[in-house]
Amino acid sequence: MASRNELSQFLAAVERRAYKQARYAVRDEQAALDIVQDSMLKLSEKYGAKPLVELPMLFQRILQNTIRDYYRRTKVRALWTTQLSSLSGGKDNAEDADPLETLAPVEGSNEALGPPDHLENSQLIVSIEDELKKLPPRQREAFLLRYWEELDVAETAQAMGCSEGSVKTHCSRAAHTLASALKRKGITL
Amino acid sequence: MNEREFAYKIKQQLDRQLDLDAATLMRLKAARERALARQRVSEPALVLAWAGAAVARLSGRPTSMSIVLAGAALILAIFGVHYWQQTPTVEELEEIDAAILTGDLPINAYLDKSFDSWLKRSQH
Repeated sequence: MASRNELSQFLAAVERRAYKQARYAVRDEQAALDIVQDSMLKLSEKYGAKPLVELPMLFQRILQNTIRDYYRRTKVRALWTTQLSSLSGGKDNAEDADPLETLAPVEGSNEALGPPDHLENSQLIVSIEDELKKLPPRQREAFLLRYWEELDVAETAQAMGCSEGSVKTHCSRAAHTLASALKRKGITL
Repeated sequence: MNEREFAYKIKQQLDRQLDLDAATLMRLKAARERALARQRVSEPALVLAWAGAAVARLSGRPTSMSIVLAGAALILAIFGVHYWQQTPTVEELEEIDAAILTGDLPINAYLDKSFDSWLKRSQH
């Protein structure tokens, strides 16, 4: 069973990536924070007594389900708001997701870079994030779980609720799409 | 560059921009603390823990759940064996019936008062 301290360390280790994942998926800062908060609560309340090794997969599964719940709720809300009023600004949120927002000063590993390199690096990250947001949800989900969260194929499949074959297909397509999109922008990694 | 290498480079880039603003970090920290305050501390398998607690209270000593369960299983097993031995099987009943019908009853049967009263009742 994970102790309180272990659970705390686990959540602290995954919260930033979880927030970023949610933000790529929903493109809304506040909604992404709510999703991470809900996921943490669900994990702690329902699976807080599980062994530490099981937590990464369980947390990712909860996170992805919470993101999907958000999609469903947004879809229903958008349906009602468009029916009730043509003046609804429901679609504005997606357009408000300005990639330049993420150009905030980058610290840590980039501190050694000079201003031109710093800017170039920031632009590269913005481009990558931008292309990640454009990926189909399942492809993005598979790619991030597999390669960013470093889950293996079986764990990714379990977290996504699909077969291992589907995970491989989604990852391969996502990598292809990302590589082609970055190449079109003249970016080589 | 294969898929894995490409993905590794993307991961490196994504890891570089995990520095978030203070307000976001504060909210994440608050969410984490709220979650920790509601951590589930036991598995559902321990729902019978009240039995251990009850025995401990009665005996005045802390008793583990496994001892209580083992004791309960032993008592159930004793009752089961006792019930099984007391209940006559179909074969035994058949033997008694056949003995009555053929007049092949042992002499002890006629010394049994309840058998005697049963005979009298059945003759009426």
